[in-house]
Amino acid sequence: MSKLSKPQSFALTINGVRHTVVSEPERPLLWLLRDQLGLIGTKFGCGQGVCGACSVLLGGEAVRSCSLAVGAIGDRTITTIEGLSATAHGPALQQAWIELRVSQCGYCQAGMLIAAAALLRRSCPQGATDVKEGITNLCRCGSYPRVVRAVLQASRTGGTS
Amino acid sequence: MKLTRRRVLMLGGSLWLAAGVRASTAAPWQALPMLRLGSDGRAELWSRRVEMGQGAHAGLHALVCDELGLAPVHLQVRNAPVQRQLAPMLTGGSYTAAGAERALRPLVAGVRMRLEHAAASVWSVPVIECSAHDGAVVHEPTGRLLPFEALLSKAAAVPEPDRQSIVLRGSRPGQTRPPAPHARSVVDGSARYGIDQRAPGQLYAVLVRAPSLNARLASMDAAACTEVEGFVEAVPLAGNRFPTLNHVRNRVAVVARDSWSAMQARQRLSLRWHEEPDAQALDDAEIARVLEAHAPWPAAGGWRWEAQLPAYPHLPMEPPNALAEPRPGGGMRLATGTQRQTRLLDALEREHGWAPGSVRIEVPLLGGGFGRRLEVDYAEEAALLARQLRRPVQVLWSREDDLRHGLFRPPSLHRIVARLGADGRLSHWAHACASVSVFAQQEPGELAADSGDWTLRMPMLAFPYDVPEVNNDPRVAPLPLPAAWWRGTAWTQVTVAAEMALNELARQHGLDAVALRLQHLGSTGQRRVRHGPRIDLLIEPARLRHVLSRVAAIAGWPRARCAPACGFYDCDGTYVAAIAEASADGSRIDRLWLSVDCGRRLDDDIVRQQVEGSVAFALSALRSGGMRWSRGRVVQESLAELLPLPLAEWPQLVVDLVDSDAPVSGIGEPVVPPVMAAAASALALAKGAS
Repeated sequence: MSKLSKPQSFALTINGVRHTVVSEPERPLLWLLRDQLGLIGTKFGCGQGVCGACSVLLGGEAVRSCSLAVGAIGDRTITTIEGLSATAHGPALQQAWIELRVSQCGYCQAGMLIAAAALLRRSCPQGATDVKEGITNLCRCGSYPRVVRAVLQASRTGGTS
Repeated sequence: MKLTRRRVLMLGGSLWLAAGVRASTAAPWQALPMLRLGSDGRAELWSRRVEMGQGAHAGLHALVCDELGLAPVHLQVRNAPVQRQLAPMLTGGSYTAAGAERALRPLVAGVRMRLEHAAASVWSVPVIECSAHDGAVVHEPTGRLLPFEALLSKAAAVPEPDRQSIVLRGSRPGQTRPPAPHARSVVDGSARYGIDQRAPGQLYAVLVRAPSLNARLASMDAAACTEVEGFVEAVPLAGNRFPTLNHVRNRVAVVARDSWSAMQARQRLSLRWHEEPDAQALDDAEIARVLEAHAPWPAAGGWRWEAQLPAYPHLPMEPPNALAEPRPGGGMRLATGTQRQTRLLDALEREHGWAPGSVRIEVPLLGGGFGRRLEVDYAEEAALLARQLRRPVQVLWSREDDLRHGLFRPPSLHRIVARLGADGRLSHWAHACASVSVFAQQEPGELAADSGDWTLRMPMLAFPYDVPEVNNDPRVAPLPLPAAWWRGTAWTQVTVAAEMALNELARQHGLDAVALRLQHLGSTGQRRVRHGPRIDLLIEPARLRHVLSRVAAIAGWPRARCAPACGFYDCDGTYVAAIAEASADGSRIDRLWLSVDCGRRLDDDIVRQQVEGSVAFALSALRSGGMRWSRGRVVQESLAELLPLPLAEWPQLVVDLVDSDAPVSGIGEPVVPPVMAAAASALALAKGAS
């Protein structure tokens, strides 16, 4: 078992706010967010990078925060679900999610919304296939068909630039 | 100027016309033990049943608003405080809506009638001219209205109407309902699940549990744990012996100042266990052997079919967790996602010595249940650890823990014998099965009294097809395998086996699988099935016939690589027919058609959501291949090895909701068995052909 590094000071920009944190560099961002910074919107589902419930935007791209070490972030900006409404596509996605009743238990949806925001940032999905190929987050409640419809709706209603 | 209700509402909401009525009392009216009407026009409903995404609270919300005449925005549904007087507090059986229709709606109607009486007496008009709408009682001929909050004390003084005089308003079909109460908090990140609960000064713990059943801790070395800055201590705790109700394993709690430190410290903990030799004997071969030994072939001759159905995990997206906070005087506050509040209260009071009234259980939003949260093990672990530490602590299960130490839908073996006459009609159907018994583990002592596991017998007795000779032989397989109620319970074993067998029977005899079923489903009549103290079913084969005919028409049956399945579910009576189409290589389901009759519906969209969810749940299980055991341990260690259905494989889905006047019946579970059976048969067809 390799020894952990000593905790160090890191400066992170999360949802537009600069935080100075003390952490082992190996600590996954997920746990820093949840336990140290009280940002509990990002969820723990598997800790193995499989389910995507822990997804955050890192410099605009979706990453699994359970598999992203604090020491590897550098100066890339982080957006969590708490900051989604300030992103270009966030409000349209949130609105579509509510109108189309996407969530059942809702636990996976923070990560799902982050993945959707990343998808809309990098592409303009034309149909269900584009969405299905562009989001790999898991849902146990079966929200998938509504995720597809909501992403397409948000894509049509457009983001703010 | 005559003030019509419409004009009043145009003036801005619930305007109080004070004609002769004094200012309303500030005190709310506890109109029912579970329903409070406030002097601000808002109402609160306490629900014993919890919300875990299945729409339980939304259904109750719709029912109460419709029956009372309340505007949706003015009603809030909350989890009822956990109290012994409210026992049993349990969510399951797909029974929230149907149960509320029977028990709650008449009571709410009585409240409405008292409000209407109160207004009528204020105006000195016949009560028949008064009617509650949008939170006010309206005098229809004149348009006068009085908001509920102006009538509270007067309504409280009106005697409760007796049962015979209750007039139910009912719910109009096809209404658009508001989004679920938690919808906004989910999308902005403020939703708080069990895992998000916090207490001042709390610690975090992950546990190392006995690697096989009843293993005992032999030695512990926590020296390397101190390399982790946040590590606090490692605490060994004794569990109880499996099989026992509310089994909690022998374990070591690794306690730290944050979750990740606890996990890192756990990796550095060195433990040795004394394993019981026969515990290591549990493996897939042993499971198959014991099932086989306990499911003798039915005696009669005929066409034979057998299949072993595997154990399945629940895998709620939120892994099990609980926060326990000691309270002054030896009490405990527990915040945890649980579907069985009373069972938890009982465990803490009766098994672990907490004084009645000293435990406070708070239930937040649940990140999925599916039956896993009917188990109280993780909550017990937290309470016992917190008591030991005398500090608040959250016990968190990792996903690996969830697999390694889960409780599962049992594995079972089914042996079916059928006889077809020359006329193509079934003359004989015999179904024997052996299964690990959830009932035996959860209600020890009840098994003998009930002569067997009634939960296995019930879906057998509910076999809906008209066959002159039907024999059922459900048996309990004695295997040391922790088992729990899983979405669809024994219907996902017995009904799935029967429907798969029918498909195979049809295939081998060159018969149309839909026509074969229709031949044996009457177009009239009801069948009442009673057995022992717990089984009392009313089955209407014509309703199954109807959904099967509809789904066949919608799907354009017959089609290649397709198989049908039907399902009746007792909640009180939901009828489902499914047709699944497999991909050419038999690796996945490409399309699914469903026709669903769950009687009158409170919320069409919630019903659709649950149908969609059931499809995902059923296909995920099939895709995973089920749980495997070796040397007393679960083989699969990670989510990647049991991958639920991904978005990319979501099939094309067509759902037909049958408009029905039948009583409200449940929808959380009924779709799971027919989808499993149709999908399994279709995949087998496609694989066989390819």
